[in-house]
Amino acid sequence: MKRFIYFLTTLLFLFIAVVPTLFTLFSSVIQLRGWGGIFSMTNLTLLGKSIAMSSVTAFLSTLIGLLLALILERTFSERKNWIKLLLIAPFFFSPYILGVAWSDFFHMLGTGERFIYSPWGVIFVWTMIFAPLSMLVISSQLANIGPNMEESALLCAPYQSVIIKITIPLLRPAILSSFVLVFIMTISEFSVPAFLSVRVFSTEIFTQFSAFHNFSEAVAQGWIIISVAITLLFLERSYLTDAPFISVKTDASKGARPIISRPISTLFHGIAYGSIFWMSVIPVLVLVFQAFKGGLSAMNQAIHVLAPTMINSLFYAAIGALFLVLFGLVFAFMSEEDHLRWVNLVLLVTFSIPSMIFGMSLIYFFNRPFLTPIYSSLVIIIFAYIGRFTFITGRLIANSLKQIPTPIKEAAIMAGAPPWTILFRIIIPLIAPGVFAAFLIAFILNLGELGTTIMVYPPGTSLMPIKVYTIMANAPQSTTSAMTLVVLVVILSSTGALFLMRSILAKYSEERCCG
Amino acid sequence: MNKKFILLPLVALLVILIHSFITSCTKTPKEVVVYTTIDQIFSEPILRDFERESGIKVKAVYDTEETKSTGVLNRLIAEAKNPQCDVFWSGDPIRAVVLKQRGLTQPYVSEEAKDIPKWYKDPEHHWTGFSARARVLIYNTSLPEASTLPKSIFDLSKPELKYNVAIANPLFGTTTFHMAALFYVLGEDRAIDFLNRLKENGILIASSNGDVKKKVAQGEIFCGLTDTDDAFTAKKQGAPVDYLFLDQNKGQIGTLIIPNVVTLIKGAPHPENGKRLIDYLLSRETEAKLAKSCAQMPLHKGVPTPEDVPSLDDIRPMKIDYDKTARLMVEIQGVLKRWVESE
Repeated sequence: MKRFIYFLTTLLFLFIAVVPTLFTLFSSVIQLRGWGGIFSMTNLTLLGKSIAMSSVTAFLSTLIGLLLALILERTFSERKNWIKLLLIAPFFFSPYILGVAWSDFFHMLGTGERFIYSPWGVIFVWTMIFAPLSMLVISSQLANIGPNMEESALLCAPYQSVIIKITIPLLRPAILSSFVLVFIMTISEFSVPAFLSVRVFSTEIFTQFSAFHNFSEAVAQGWIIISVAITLLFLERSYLTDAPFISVKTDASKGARPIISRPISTLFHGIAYGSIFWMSVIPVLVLVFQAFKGGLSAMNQAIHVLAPTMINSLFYAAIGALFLVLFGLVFAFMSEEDHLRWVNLVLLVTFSIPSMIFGMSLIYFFNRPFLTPIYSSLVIIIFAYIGRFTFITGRLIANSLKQIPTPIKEAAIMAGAPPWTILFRIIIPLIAPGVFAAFLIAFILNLGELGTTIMVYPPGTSLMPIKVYTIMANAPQSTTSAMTLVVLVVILSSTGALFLMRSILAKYSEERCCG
Repeated sequence: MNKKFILLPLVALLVILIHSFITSCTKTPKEVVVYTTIDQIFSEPILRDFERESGIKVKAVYDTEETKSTGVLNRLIAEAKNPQCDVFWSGDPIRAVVLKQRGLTQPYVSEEAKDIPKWYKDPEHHWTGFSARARVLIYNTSLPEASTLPKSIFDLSKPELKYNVAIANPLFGTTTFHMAALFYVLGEDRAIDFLNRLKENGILIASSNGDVKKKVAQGEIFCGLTDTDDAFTAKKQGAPVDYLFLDQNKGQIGTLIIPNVVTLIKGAPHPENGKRLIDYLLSRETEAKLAKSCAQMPLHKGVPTPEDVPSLDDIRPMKIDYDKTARLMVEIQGVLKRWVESE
């Protein structure tokens, strides 16, 4: 039965994400008239520039993420989760909207416009978006580090030495994971550099695609980005072997807390609150200012425009998240319980495919007469979500599985429990927080996904992020900002509702369990 | 963990997906699929009106500013082998010509377009123009430079406007068509020379026409080239801007008129409904609505328009062959790319 489920899931994933992409990539290579243009000096220079910009962004994001993670996990006891939630708020916006908000901020400030319309401006915007993600990745790992080593070291060394010599080396996997994750996400991101008029390799792909309609060349250039990402992932994987890529720990940190003076503590708290101000409050304030400058009319219009799309979007995002969790669950078992390492590689490769190329692949592969029911229904949107984010849910659940102590399972086997009982009575309850986190993150990512869904959404379908983008052309800035704020409120409230649902379910299960 | 928690949503999910799958399998005769590059804020009300009046359900795919309004064109090309779309409503003739060149359109002669001038129609009837925009110079009225306004597009390369002019990336949208029209009217050498002089004069290349409008409205830059609908919207929203038509004197090249264009897709799943939608879009009523909502100038004679919407009769148009200009655009894309990339 287990083998059958593995086989079926793999087959489905190959059909949904891998085969369409390979089909498009290989057709583009066959149709390409020559590789000379792809490896021209201009392209190589742009590739170098992209790699440099993504590396700097990944470095800065990881550095800021590390600092924030250390502050949050080691100096905050209360309000930590709230601060994390506020810090990751920029992640709920699309990079394009944040690019616009930051350029408007510098315009309002009356200075820094030259800076924002430069490669450093792009790096700045990307860092503001992705540093919270780094913080999340590193703080999850930090929360998993037991207190013993740090506490022992504290007996004979000052806290700063403990951080440098014990904590940071222990965090190495998360630091590298954060770097790789941010690098991959930025190297194929084109909306911020395109808006800020900075030429990079991803904007070159976009130009080939959108201005020249030269799909073969665009896809072939996409190959290069995929290859760079795979090389980096391969290096990272072979260096770290079994380290978790992303993990979410929902209980409180058990790490050692430093004995720090009040001024230092105030300074650390100041950095945390200052980061919230810079990363989340400023862009939101810009949007609020623009949305309410002329009164409530823009907000009323935004609600009127987006209201019909909300149910659809939440519904599709939830269905997509459910499927992502199911795929993630099976792949996590394949990689962690049965040590099928190729699963990780396949998921990593699909994750590194630029969203536009994945969208094209879905059209080329599924738009056939006998597959029309898939292509012209909501199924194609679910496929888009699965192809884009299974890596994330797979890794989140895999890392939860990793945290289950082996003796528990061994004891159950020794007691003669059948595999399904072990699965449903022991493993799933133990990984439930990880599964919930995977569902939540998948739900949020689905709600905001635009790159692929914009290319495949069935005619007549209305999804919230798509509507924001299609309406924003020629709509007043106030309406666009108001719509963005409405999306933020919808995401935050649905996240809150999911948390509430989880606690109700947990309470119900507890009551049933304890009679 | 209770198995019901897992099984119930899964069963519900399966039912929903099967329902969606079956619904999409059954072709509804009373529907039409339209892909449009026209801003949703202007096109959706027209399509809703058609739906109400004809009883035919309109399923639309709109474009986005982020993809420089090229998303639906790319989708149409990618869907070529199994078309899903019936009608393509484009904001300019370029995209329709690209589709025609790739053999993705079919001819249709609409009775509604009888009195639309022939130069706004494809000689082989693959596309038909209606409501038009024009290229204009939008400028900030609160800046001191407003006292001496340029009269010709060639004034934009003069030293007094150094670092004070913006243009959208000419690789995308109506700016590409504007460039192609300049190449058509001036010839390649003079057009390239003019572009180089603009570059030497520090012209700012913005990400889109909307971005040009925004930069001028915010006073970041004095003036820029954009379309009438952008300028009209900015003015309507109370921004300190105004606009003018360039090259309107005798002997000057005139301003580029950009008609909307509608095309019937080859292999359209609902061709008859598609034709009805095309007829509706080409009607005088639609032109009147577009004149009201976004200052588009009707191509039919005698369509009532608001006072602030200019009439084509009062504008000196750039004399171009739309089909040839659109074809030329494909040829000059490489030149434009090099120009954008040059320092």
